[in-house]
Amino acid sequence: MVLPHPPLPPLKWQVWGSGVTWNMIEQELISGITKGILFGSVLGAVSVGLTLIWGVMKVVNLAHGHFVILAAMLVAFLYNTRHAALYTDPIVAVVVMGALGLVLGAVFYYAVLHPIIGHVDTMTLKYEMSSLMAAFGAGTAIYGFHYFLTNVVHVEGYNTNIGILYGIGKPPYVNVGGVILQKSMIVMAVESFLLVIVAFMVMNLTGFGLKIRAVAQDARALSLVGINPVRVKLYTTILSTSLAMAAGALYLGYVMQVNPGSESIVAPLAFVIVVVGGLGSVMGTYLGGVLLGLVYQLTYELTGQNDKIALAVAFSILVIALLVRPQGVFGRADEWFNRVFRRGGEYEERR
Amino acid sequence: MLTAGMWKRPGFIFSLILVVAFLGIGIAGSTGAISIALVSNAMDMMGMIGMALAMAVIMSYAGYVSFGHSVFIGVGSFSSALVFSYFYRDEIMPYVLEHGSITTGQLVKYMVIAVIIAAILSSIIAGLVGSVVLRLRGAFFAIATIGLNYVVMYLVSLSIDAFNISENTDEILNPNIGVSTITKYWVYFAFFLVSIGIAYLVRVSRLGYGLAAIREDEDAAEVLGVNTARYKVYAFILAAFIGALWGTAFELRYNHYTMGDFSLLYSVKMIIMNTLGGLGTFIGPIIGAMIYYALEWTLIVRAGQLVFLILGILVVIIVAVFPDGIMGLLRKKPSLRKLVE
Repeated sequence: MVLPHPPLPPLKWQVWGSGVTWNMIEQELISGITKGILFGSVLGAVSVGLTLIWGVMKVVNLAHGHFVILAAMLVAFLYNTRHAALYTDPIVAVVVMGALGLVLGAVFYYAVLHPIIGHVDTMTLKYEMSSLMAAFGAGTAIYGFHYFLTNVVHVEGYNTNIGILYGIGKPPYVNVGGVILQKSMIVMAVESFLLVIVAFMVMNLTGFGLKIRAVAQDARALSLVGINPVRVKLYTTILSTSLAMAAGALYLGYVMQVNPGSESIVAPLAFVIVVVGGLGSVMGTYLGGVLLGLVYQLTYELTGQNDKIALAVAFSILVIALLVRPQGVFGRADEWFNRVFRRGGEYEERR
Repeated sequence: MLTAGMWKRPGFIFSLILVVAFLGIGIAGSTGAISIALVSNAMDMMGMIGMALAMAVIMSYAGYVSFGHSVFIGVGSFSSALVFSYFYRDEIMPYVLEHGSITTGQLVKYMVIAVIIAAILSSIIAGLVGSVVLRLRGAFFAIATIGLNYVVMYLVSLSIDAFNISENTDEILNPNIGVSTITKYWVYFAFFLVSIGIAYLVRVSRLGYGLAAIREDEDAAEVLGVNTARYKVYAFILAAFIGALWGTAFELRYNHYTMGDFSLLYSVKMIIMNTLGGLGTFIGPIIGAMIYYALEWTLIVRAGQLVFLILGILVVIIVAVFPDGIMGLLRKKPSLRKLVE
């Protein structure tokens, strides 16, 4: 006697033939996309400073990530030592760090970059490489400086891995389509977007930004029309450092914890984003940041929250992007934005 | 391939003096004439010189700054860990339990196997990656190698979980092989001979002159008939091999393998040593390594945590004030110029 077969469960979409069904990864996909866009927004803001200094001044600023983490460490330090305001209001933290970046940018330019620009006459170290080395040295010095924040000043209950929560509303969590997000994540992503918009407006709508872009094209021609390129380079460095440090405060607000070693993740990611987004293009860099955030977060969620695979994928994008499209995937994004949002086109070059 | 008169050049005499000095330290250490601490310092210095030479083959000779060179240290360390903690673990542990330590013959066998694995792995990585990435120039190459470093680091770190030996997933501890510091010193010395030999032979051979041409002006070199693409890959593979060689040595010395072996810090040290000594020379990186080691050792003893702060400022000053390094200073004086190759 043959028993009747029990009814089979309804067929579902099989992923990789591994018995994983669509329903099982749906949640991870939604979570990956949501968090990816938010994280990518912050990463885009982190990279904007780098795209300016690399694209305009041709300085491969290896200290960029160190500036970002320095700002994050300073905010966390002030939070731990109970210097109020900075942690009650994220806007204050961003503005204070941006202002500090103005000062540090000037110091960075005069101490590190200025001695090199125009003074390297050697057959072995090209300008590009020597600026890379100098920026690298500055970054190492900043990394060493963290010692004073973490060890010398003794604070009760202070450690290098600092949790911080900006006091934004209560409860601090919000449910977006089944994904539980911290409110500060959303706030930081939006603020990052605003920061990028500010940078974009400075670069594309003001005469100052025009000078910066002119230096990127031909510094000697600029000096012919009576503008000092050295001064413009100084301002570019200041702007870049200020953006980096403001973004550092945002980064801390997003990831909630930071230690000096975080630089080894932030800086290479920033380089990936700038290469993907296109050198010197603000909006391209932001879009590159969102793309990379998506790739990172989706890989992270789909591989069972494996950080290592996600980072390996993110960095292999760098190598591929460098080989395939060194001018950047979104290299022309700024022009597109210009065409849509800018009045006229008086100085836009057409090739 | 080799050029005439290579045995009379200052580089050869200089390396001969170094080899004799380290041989003397080794003999004095085995007879107990000097303390183990000194022997240990000499080992560190040999490691530093070896790392500097690994970078010199690609950076000092060919002018390509590879920030991803720590990958090869990590790969060497990985292959040594593979041999000691995986392939021969079951052979080593009972033997050491019974006799106290493994024999010299066994050690040589394990190290040779580790070096062969390291050579294969590093050549594959350097050959594959180099043939693609070396098309980029200058800063783009440097950035790409940073990316490469992290890709390999995270991929290899997945393999640590696969070992599944240690409770702590971040590192693999070797079984106790019970050999003394002096024995390890001789392993270091052998590796030192190999790496200084490779670096010197590359420098004085046709390959070395081709690399020098690439460093000065790559386009001109290509027009003059130097096969730049092939030369660069050869140099990268040799540089990778020297790096991997020292990776195996470090793993033997410190008895464990971690993610930290892929730390960019190794690349950083190599670059500082090369820049300090002066690019474009053979002696430069060695002198840079010796000075750097003395400096770092003093700083660690005196200032501990301030090492990074001081080193960073030092790099800035070097690049700004004398970008040609110590060899560049010597080159400016006509009387000392003969010493510089």
